[in-house]
Amino acid sequence: MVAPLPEKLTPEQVFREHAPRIYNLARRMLGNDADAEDVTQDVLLQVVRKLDTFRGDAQLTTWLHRVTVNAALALRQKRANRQKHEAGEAVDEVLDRAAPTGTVKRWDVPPDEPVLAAEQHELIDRAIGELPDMYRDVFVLADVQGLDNAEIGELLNLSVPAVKSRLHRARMRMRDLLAPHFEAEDAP
Amino acid sequence: MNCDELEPLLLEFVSGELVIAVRETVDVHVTGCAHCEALLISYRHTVRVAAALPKCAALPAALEARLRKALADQMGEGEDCR
Repeated sequence: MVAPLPEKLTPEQVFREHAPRIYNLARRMLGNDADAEDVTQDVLLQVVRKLDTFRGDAQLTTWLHRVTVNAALALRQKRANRQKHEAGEAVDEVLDRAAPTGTVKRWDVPPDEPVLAAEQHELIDRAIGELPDMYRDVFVLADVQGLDNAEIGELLNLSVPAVKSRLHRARMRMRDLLAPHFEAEDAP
Repeated sequence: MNCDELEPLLLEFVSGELVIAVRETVDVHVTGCAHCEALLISYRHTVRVAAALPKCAALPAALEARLRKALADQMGEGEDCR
């Protein structure tokens, strides 16, 4: 028996099911609402123009990741070139250490999957926004979006060891940023 | 194994990629070291909270209106994307 062809996607379906995903990813990568809105519009119009070429949601989701990441990187590059032009130099921020300095305090957290309140979303998103770009991209794609290291390497043109190295440093920096909010109270 | 040697292994430890012998060495160290046990718990929780973030939170109303207009314009205003 031949499997039926997937139904053709409509612009409304794409809008409802994918626009929020595109926006959330772009916003986390760019850390800026206005830029994320521009990227979302660009990507959405691109996908609707090419809608006839997609068969099924899985193919579209993969493509959307790629196009959103590329659009976000291109916009950031444009901004960086302008800043470089204005400031006369580029800033490549590299985390020079991963290990925490000083004592690591125990976190007061449940052992299983956390359920986050809205204010915790904001707290974590703010911490993501503080990561340098090269680490933020990898952290968002790996730990928020759940992409595997090989996919991220392809999207960002990095080797898998480079993805892992950046991801580890990003997690350690995130850990440091979140520590004050999750550390257990000292016993009296 | 000491604390400095453990830290670079955390990523592969939590994703289950370490070979068994190294994994066991990490387990033994963490069991006897409060610093590394706290570091491992906090590292794992950092990964978990990121995964728990919403990936398709609703669009701001103004953006939704802007996108619908842009889509309608692109489609020649012949089809309402609603």
